[in-house]
Formats: sequence, structure tokens, C-alpha cells
Amino acid sequence: MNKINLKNFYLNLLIILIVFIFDRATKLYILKLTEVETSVDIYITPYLNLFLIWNKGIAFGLLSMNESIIYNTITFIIGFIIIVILFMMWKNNNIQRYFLALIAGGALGNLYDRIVYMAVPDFIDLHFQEFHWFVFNVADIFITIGVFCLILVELIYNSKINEKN
Amino acid sequence: MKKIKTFIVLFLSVIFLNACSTVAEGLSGSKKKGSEEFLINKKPPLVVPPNFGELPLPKLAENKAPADGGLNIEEIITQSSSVDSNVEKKELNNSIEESIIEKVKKKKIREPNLKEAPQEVVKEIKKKNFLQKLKKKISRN
Repeated sequence: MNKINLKNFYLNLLIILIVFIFDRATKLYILKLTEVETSVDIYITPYLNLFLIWNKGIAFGLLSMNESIIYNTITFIIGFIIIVILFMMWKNNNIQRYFLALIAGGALGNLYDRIVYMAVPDFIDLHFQEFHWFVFNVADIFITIGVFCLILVELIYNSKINEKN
Repeated sequence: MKKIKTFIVLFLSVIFLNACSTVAEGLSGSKKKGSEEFLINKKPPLVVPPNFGELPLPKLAENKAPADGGLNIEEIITQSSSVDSNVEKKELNNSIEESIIEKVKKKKIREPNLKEAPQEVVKEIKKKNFLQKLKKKISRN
């Protein structure tokens, strides 16, 4: 039982590290571009641009204020949520732990930026003609995938178990 | 009911953990800038330096009256300016008189005073005048 737990722990840790490193690599690449040019606004495809924005708030640019009290409170809440996710991941033995690891990796990536840069760099700008989706980063992709998969698991996998019972 | 709770928890975690932002936010200029090109440093107020009393006094008295008897530039400038102003005033007042005097002097130069001149020179001048008059008469005839 302990061996299984350790295996799971290392596997989860590996997922978290991969997500975190990948997120950091992309952010560092974008930040290096800003050293060369004053602003990053790169055209890649007709539907995708790289456009750097610094977000001090939470999702969708909410609570992005210059007051340090609000900023520190949000950072503290995010840190608390990450600890809860890591605890759930440690306790869970189902497939859900991998999705929780994805969320934890992405959340740690954003938390690192909040602590180091005092803001999170967002740079992926998906758009169709003039209609732009929210600008996001790689960490956001992994968090969204993880949450989406958790919802699916909750809807499909757990409902089947309940039916069997 | 449990499902609803889990969905709410997941939704809140997405909101807090995600860090996506709107494009308008970036275009409005609220994005963080790397360089501090528009940073304004407030200058501190002027304060007397701590060793200000120890500094030597400026030697203004010596400059005004040089001991070597050399030229004092300040006096020269003031004098020259005063002289110039006086001359200008005089010129304005006596401009008509001076112009008349100059004309008189010119006439005197053209017509030499024969009384004060020596006799030999007077004779020669008279001869020249006599010859010129003769020439004029001959040319008229």
C-alpha cells in the first residue's frame, strides 16, 4: 500500500513539475521578447496572436487593483487553495488525482509569477476577426483542462459507480 | 446536492487559480512595463551644506580696487558707458551747430587764406588765377 502511494506521489510530483516547467519556459520566452522589444504583439495565425498583458487580479481580469492589501489577500487565498488541492491529491487514489496534479502545477506556475513579478503574464490571444477571447497563459490551459476533466469524471465516472451501488 | 457543491467549488477554484485577462485591459495601458521611462523622481528640497560656514569668503573688495594699479574692468565699463551717454546727448543737442561748423571748415580748406600765406605762394596763386581767367575769355571768344 505504501509502495502504491509512493508511486502515485512521484507520478503526481512529475506531472506537477512538467506543467510548472513548461509554463515557466513559455513565460520566460515571452519575457525575453519584451527585453528586445518594448511590447509583445506577435501575429502567428489569423486566429492566434501573442500579446503580453500583466494581470494583477484573478480570472477574467477581476479584482485587478493596485491596492496591495487586496493583492496579498488574493495571493493568500490562492496559496490556501493549492494546499487543499495537494492534500486532496495525496488522499485520492482514483484517476482524479492526475487532474488535480494538472491544476496544482498550473496554479503553482501562476502563484510563482504573483510572488516574483507581482502580476501574472498572459500572452495567448485567441480571436476570430475582432472578437477576442480572454488572454491567457499555459498554466491557465492546464488548470482549465484539469477542472474540465474533474467535472466530466464527476458526471460520468461517479454516476456509474452510484448506479452500480 | 453533492454534485452542485463540487461544481461550485470547482468553479470558484477556476476563478481564483486562472489568471486570464481581457484584451481591453492590455490596450488601456494598465499592463506592467519593464522600463521606468516615465518615472518621475521628486527632487529633495534645497538644504544648506554642513560645511558651508567653513568655506572662504569671496574677495569682492580686492577686485574692486586692485593694488597693482592695473585696469579695473568695472570702472572702465561704467566710465565708457557714461562717456558714451554724454557724447550722445551732446551730439543730439549740437548736431545742427556741428554740421554748420563742418561746412564752414570745408569752405575754408577750399578757399585758402591769402593774407596769412607767404608772398611767393600768393604770387603764384594770382598768376594761376589770371591765366585761368584768360583761358576762359579766349575760349568764350
